[in-house]
Amino acid sequence: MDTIPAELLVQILRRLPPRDFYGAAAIVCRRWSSIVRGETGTVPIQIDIRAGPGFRGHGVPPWTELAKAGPLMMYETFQPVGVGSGNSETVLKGYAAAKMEVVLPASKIFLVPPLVPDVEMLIKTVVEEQGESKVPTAILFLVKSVDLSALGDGRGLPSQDSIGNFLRAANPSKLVLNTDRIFNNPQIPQSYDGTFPHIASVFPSVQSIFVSPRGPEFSSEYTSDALEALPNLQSLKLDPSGLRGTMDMILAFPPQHRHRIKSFISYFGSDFPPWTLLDLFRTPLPVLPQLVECGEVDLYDRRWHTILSSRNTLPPTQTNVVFPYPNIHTLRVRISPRVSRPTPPQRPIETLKAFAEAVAELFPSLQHIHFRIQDPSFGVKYVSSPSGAAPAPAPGNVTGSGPNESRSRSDHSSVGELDRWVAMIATIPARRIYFSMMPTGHMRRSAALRLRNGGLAMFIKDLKERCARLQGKRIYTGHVAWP
Amino acid sequence: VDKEVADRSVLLKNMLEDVGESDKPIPLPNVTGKVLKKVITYCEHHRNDPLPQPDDDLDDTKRRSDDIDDWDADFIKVDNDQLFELILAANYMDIKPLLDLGCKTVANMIKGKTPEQIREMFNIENDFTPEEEEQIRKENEYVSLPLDDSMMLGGIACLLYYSLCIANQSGCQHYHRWASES
Repeated sequence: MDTIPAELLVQILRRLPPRDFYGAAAIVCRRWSSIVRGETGTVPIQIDIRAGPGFRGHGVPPWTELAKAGPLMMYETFQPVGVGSGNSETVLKGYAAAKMEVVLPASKIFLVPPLVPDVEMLIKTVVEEQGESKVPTAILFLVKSVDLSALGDGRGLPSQDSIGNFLRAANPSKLVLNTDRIFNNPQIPQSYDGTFPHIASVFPSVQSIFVSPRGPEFSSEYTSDALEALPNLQSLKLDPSGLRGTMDMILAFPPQHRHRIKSFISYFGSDFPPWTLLDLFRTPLPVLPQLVECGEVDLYDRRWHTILSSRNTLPPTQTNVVFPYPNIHTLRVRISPRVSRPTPPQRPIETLKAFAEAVAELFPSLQHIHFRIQDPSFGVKYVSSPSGAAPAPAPGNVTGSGPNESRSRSDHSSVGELDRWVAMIATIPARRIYFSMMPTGHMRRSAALRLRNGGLAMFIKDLKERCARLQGKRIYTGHVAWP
Repeated sequence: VDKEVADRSVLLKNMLEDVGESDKPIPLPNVTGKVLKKVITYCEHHRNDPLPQPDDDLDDTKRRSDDIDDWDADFIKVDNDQLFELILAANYMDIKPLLDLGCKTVANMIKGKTPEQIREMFNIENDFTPEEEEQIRKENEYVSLPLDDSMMLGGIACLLYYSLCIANQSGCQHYHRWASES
């Protein structure tokens, strides 16, 4: 066994079911343990029982496998976690993510009916088994997140009690609730209690919810109610497509709730006009002082210019002091398509500079920055410079210069643009820079392809090379599941 | 050896293409004669299989370990040393199906065993201090519960239920209803 090199040992061990992988294999010896813990850097894994035929290209019908192996045992679909590859950070993340997500019921994903498990049955099996064993079974312990967003998709509903039992058994820390489905669905009988106080009684440990406001009834009250009812709620993910006045909504939260929020993310599809969290940072006092993760802000937002300039041009008063958010370690940034930018900046060059300076000032402890490329033209015209060896400009010198300056003003295709990106990355405090294409699963392949081929890939490759010379900065690419 | 057989190995295939039609022998410094014989047996049996496609990250079927056919199962019944030599040779000669087979076999040997049994089986020295071992055991406590019979019964129940669904075509009705809605 000692003669087997690490990469082969990894291949062997990742064929093990999680029970053996995390159980016995971790205790055999240091070498094996380090593989299980991911320190050798090659086994980022995630157990995902959502994957089905017609989805992410899996050939195995997971639910039949599931049934064969026992309830909720689905260990054949080990798969790499989104960002990066082969580095210890990703791997540790993968280890942490080696927990199950249960989507109940995921009828949109499973197109072949016999493969769709009867949710009632699934839940019943789990709950019964739970009742017999009295101990949390391994697999239930692995349930990290439960997604109820597809509830009532025309397949009938599991009874409230059985969902409650299931969730109690699984005790997920993350609950994905699509409020639209719960509150505005004619298929859900009126008696179905989807209010947050009830939700709280069923799963008090919930830390994270996804509030989808597509229904007309949606108002900030729901979010507010959720914060009221769920004592551990720290993370809000909003889909603000139907939402107006988000700032007012946040301000309307009582301070004790606002101060609890650690993660505030609102995500946009490409068909919605950008709305930005930037206003959050222009308030007289920190609104969400405990915030550690925040997004999405728009890279090409003109307000990056004014966020600091008001401070520079006016005498300091209560209203133009910029408060840094020292807790924020992760920022999510969208690179939006130019067509949907609300106020197309005349000088994108300076926007990049203003962005870097504002980020450095506002988020001094920033560690991770995620750029989600939504602009289909981003980088596609980029052509690698033959010399390619220009030294990285000093931090602050973001305006850049060079022979390509003249044609680089309006697109992301030139070497001059690369210089500005390098300078921007040198200026911001984040040390891990991620580029991703799409938030969701079904586009993973094409997104991955674009990151691997063509001008964008070249742009990122050159950026990686240049940033390697900046101390401590690393660039990762991937197609990250959101968030 | 026939070219068809040698082509099972990507390494040999590439080497043969480099060498061309000449009769020069191809050196295989990392593979012993005994193991090579075994490898050739494997390749001869599988000479007509389709060559494996370039690796696709999204393909998870290859991670399963319970789909070994009878001939392969019989073929791989060797002692541990030879098994590992085979894996190394398959890796070196780049014969993916054989490497898969080897890895699956080892994984099957490990499955369900205690750490002590694994160490004994592969002659691995336990280099943890007792405290460290206890720590890791604690961290992984919840995932080391044994799989009991009730879980298997549950699984069988699920299977039966699904076949019933297929039998009375309720699944199809579901599907049509759902499809017409969307």
